[in-house]
Amino acid sequence: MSKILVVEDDNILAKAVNTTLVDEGFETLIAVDGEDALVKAKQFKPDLVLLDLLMPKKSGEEVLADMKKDDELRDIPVLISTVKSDPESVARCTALGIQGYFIKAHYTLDDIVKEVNKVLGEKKR
Amino acid sequence: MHKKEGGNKIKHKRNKHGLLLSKCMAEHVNGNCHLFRLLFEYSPNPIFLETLSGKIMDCNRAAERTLGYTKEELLNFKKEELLPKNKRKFFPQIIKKIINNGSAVFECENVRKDGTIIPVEAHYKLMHQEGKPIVFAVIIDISHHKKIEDDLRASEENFKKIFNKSAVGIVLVGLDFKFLQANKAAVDIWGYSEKELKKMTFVDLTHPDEIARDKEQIKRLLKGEISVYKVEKRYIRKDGEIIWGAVNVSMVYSVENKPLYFVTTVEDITKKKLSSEGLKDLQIKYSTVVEQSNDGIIVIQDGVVRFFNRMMLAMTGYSRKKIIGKSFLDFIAPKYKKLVADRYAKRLRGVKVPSRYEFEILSKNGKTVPVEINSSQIFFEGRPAILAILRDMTNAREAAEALKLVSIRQEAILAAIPDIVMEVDVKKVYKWANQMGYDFFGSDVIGKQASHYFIGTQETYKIVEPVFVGRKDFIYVESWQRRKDGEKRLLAWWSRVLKDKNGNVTGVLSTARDITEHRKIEQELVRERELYTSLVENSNDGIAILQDDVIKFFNKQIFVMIGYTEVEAFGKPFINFVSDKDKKIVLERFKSRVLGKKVEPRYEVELIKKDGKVLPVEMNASLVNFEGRPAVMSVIRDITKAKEIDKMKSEFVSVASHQLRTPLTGIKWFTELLVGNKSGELSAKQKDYVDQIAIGTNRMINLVDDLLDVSHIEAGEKYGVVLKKQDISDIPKEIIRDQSIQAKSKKVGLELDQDCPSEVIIRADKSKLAQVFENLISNAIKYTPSGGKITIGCKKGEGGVIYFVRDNGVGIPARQMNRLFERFFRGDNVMTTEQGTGLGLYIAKYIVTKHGGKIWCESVENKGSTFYVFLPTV
Repeated sequence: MSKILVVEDDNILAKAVNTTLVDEGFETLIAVDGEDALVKAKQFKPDLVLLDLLMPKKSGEEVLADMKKDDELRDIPVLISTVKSDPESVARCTALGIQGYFIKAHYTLDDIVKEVNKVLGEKKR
Repeated sequence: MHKKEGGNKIKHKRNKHGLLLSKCMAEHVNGNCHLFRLLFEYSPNPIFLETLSGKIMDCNRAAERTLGYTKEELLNFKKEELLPKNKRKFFPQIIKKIINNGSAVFECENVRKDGTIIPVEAHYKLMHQEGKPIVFAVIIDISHHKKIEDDLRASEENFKKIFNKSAVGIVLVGLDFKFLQANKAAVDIWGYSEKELKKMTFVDLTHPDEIARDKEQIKRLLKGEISVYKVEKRYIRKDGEIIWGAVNVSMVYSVENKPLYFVTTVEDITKKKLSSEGLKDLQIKYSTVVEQSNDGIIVIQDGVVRFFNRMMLAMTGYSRKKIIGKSFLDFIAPKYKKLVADRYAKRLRGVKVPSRYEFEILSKNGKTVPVEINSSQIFFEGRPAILAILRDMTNAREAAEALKLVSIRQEAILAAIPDIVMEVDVKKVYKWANQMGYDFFGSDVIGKQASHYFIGTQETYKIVEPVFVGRKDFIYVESWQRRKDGEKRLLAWWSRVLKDKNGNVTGVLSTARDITEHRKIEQELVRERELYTSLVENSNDGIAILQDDVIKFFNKQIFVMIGYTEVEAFGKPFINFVSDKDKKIVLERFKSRVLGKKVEPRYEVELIKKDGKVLPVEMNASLVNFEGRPAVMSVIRDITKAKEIDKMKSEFVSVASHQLRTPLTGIKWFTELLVGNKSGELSAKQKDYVDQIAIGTNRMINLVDDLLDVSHIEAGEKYGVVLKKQDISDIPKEIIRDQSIQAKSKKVGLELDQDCPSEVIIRADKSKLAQVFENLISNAIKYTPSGGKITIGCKKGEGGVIYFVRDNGVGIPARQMNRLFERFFRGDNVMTTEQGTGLGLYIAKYIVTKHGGKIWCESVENKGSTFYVFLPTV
């Protein structure tokens, strides 16, 4: 059973995503800010991180950068799920290394599940 | 009857008046005592016999009549006492001349008893009586001749006065444009002597820029299309200096109405005032004597000539024999015979007829000689006769003719002078006016007080007083005067003193010009200038005029904005004040604008303030004419605040939109969870309600997306359109696929035109272009009622491709077409029926423009709309 770390500071959104992923049979853990995300990523060792960008303490971009510097975390696939839609944010994240970029509100939960499955499927292969 | 002088002894005898009858007189006429007594007494001219010391020994009736003294009074006089006091010193010279030459003729003045002075011509002859010298003096009253002479002089002087003393330059210019005559003022204005001017044409003096216009106007003047050519123009002085003249040119015509020459008046308005120096008092002294008097004397009795003097011989050319005893009528020109005979007869009958008149006598060679006769009745040999003194008027006639000719010429010039010329006497009464003067004040102006024409209380008399008392030669004054039609006009007067030869002020000669309109325009200009100055200087926008790369004008606000002083900014290249990053565009636009090319007037640049800080401004530049050449006027607005506000607004919209996205996502996702039956089966009604929530949420998400786009567009950042060469032919297909569900649910047909090219390669940002098509197609679905049809097509055009989205929906009201692509625009006809942000087309236009393309629309309300997008191909 694949493990997914849901990094989301908004309770409501975290609940919606978490509920969906659990229903889909994933094992999940929720982190509520950037620092929490890094700590939990090390402990939980997820197969995929669903990462918000605008967060307290440490932004998603910083978390991503730290992960890429960390040998343990470097290879964990990351999907960004954020309200930020500017091309610069997309470009910076892409440069650091991500598997996908969702602009919240533009995507359905179903879209996210499909993408998660796709990324994890590729990883298995 | 004539005896030789010498041996005769004629006794001294006292006549009934107890007066001395001169022996020499008797000697002179060979004893014809009685005749000479008669001639002496009845001569119309005063005759005196006097000693060399000037004591009057005898005089005739004419002397009494002319001088107003009785004979007794005169006999107690010394002759010199008849002269005006200031002339008595010349008397010894007269006597000396008589002694040396035996005779003399002088023109002088005699003082009458009543104090009046009469001009006289005195003929002296030295004779001897009993070995003692005696002076025989005939005095001829020449007031009449003086008058002709004075008229001639006055007329000549009037012209000369106007011509020479005018403070305004006057020149006569020939039809070949050569100067014929120039007055002193003209010489002063141009710096060339009259002699030099006579070798020049007005073209040589005129500023090159003005020649063509002058020639054209003078052509019109010659054709008679205009009567006066008035202009303010530039001349080049001899010293090279450019001066301004207010010029009036008019034509002088001959009696046959042929153009003779131009009269041009020039006022130097370079300094708007005339120099009072340099104009010398040019008193012209005339020493012209119209004629030298030599009168013929003739006595006629019973119609025949009984006596005549030598002068008559000279005048007629006949010999003595041919005259004496002949009818006087034989010597009169046929056309005067009747007149003279008639008067002769009347006079003999005692009827009063003019004693003085003119006619013509016949001379021996058949020529007629004009004469003036001064006749009176006498008793000759005890019977009535006529004594006639004839004066040869040939010279006077010629003088009169000459005067007439001169007058015609001068009158023509004066009439042609397009300024008012007036003369007042010392009492400020108008004495003389030219045609313009009459035209202005009316034909009855002569004899009127100057103040009669004043309007309102005026200081004019006070101002010109120094001229009248002789303290100043020239004064300029402006005053309001009543024109003959009652209208109030402002006249500019150049007043110059007139003096007689003794230096006494006799009056003032003034040239006047109606400057009412001129002044009105001047005041208008001043008012306008004040208005503009106040507008420009009080403007909150900076205003600059740039010419030849430098700053020609800055208003106060610019100094406030950039912190430089006038001295630091004027004449400096304006590019110095522009930030490095904007220098290129500012210079390019300036150059194109000056060349008259169409350049976007409004753009934003950054200026560098004196303290080195950057000042963001919006320029609104336009091509203007400054000092006759193209320049750029820039209205510069400080947009620091506006920029800040814009930034804040964009930031606010950005933050707000981001913040909105989070809760919207929550609603969207939980709705999705509800619909997806993850929490149990929903009833049909519940499902419908949840669907409505989903639709509403999506709308809100779209609105937030649009707002974010707009805030990015306006911030000029984060909305980068990245162009990449690629095929875009699949975009419309994808959008049609995405939107087909919506179209179907509204029962609107949505199809792609068959003729679309299979490949369209351009430089494009695909995701942004997709947004354009999405906006256009979703609009078309929204505004097309059920049963309608939407077609998307594409065709290759010149230099690019044209996409179109055509519907047969509600269309756009014609009056609103021009606002279609504005922010938040929504058609009146859909405002209440359809949801929308009014941002879709604004964003679409921005994207298309960034692709170097164009977007436009054709629409008929209730028929449908077609939107076109042109995109340039690679």
